Amino acid sequence: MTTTDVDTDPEAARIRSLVLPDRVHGSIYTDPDVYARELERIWYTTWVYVGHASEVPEPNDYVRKTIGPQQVVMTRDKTGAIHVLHNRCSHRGNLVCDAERGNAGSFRCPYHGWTFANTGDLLGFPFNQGYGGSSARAQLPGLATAPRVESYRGFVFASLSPDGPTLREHLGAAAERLDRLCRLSPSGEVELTAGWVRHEVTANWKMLVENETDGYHPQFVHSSIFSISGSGIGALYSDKSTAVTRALGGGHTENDLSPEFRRLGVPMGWAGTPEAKIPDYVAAMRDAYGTDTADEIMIDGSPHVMIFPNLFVAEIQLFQIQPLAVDRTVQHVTAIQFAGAPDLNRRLVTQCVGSVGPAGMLLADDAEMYERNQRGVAQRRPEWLDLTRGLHRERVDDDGHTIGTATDETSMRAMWRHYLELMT
Amino acid sequence: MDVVASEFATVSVSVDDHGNGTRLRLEDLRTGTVRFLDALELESIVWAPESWMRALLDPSQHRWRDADRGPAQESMPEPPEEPPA
Repeated sequence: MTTTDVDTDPEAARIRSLVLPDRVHGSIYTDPDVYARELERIWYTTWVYVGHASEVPEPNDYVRKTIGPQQVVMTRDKTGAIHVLHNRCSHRGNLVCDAERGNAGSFRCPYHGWTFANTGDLLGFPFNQGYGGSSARAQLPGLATAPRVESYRGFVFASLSPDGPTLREHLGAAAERLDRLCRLSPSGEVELTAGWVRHEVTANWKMLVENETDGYHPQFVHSSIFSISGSGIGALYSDKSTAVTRALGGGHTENDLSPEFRRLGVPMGWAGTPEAKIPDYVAAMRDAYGTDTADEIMIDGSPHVMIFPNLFVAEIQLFQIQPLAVDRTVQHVTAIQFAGAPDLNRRLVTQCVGSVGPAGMLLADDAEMYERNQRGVAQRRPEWLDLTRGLHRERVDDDGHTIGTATDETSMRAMWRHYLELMT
Repeated sequence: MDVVASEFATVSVSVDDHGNGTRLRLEDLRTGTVRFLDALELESIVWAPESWMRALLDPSQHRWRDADRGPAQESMPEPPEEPPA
């Protein structure tokens, strides 16, 4: 902190006083002023995950999506290009699209009939003499578009800032985790076609981001689903585990369970699915990659990675985090599907129904903790949340990333470091 | 009869064979307005340039045309008349 900072941006100095290397102040989760600054500095500036190309497979398909509280429409135009449009009529501000998804080359606002192409261009409006005739169209605005839209492996991100790092720079090492996910498909493609559950919690969005790669909680919070499903995953989150928590840079973090899966050495062991139950998938993988590489891919398994600020890939399911208010957050959840893997996909949907479906146990467990945590941090004492777990045993791996054990808070500390860079 | 619907419009589509040949019958189910399209008209739509379709989607061109500019239907700009011989 410098005197200049305090003079020119006292809010930045205040936030720096709330986020320390080994602890954060409770008000960082409850202060509406902090939240307002997060929207401007994080959600409306950095790359935010919007949707997946497989959700708009055909020309003129569209889906409604979000960038934090902002309602957007992700479209695929006639030429195949993907656009991210603000869902706000340029005339009187009405929501233009109401359906969650559809196929339309143009959108007509229900309020006064202004009509837009799915690229955002204004095509016309009723009774144009009121504007001096059809030539007025060229002077009137169309739907606003996200200044920057890029995709990686079909994952579409948008930035509401015209300037900043490229998507590839933003993703950094996290891009390889998306590669690791995609290579579990025989054709190297993920499809998000299983439908979505919209799960709202009364909690601040950062609690969710922190929890996604918190390896300390699963054995407590998720003990019931681990016990009834016979899953061995819970046991991997312990100090006896060779799994690691890794800071990937840019606020992205992961729980890397692959060392344990390699120790197990069983293809699809990570998914708890014996080869015999998915013979078509295993055969397709070996055809596509060759037996040795395919087995390596199927042993290493799927990533557990939190791509800051809102894309969480948890092995078989994908979460999109959407803040609505300082204490309201939605998780949009779907079962990941792999192109060319129908037998595996059926099992993944069934597993996800049990974990994150409307009556799923995993998401309900976490939701209970998020909401209790939000109520807890509103209490006056003690003022701080501790972030010291594993601080004394952090180390740097061969790739230069900071790592801790499976249960260490390495990921949270890394997230907060990046948070301060953006916020101050 | 099939229905092609979005949140923006709802149109029934059927092949009508009451005449001497087949034609497509389109009905705007929100108003009951009907238009028939014969094979050559359909082929022309298939080949129409994108700008033509964009112009067609301008509400002021037809249904919501200002009253002093002629009736709503059949009101797309007429082709220029041939000059007198």
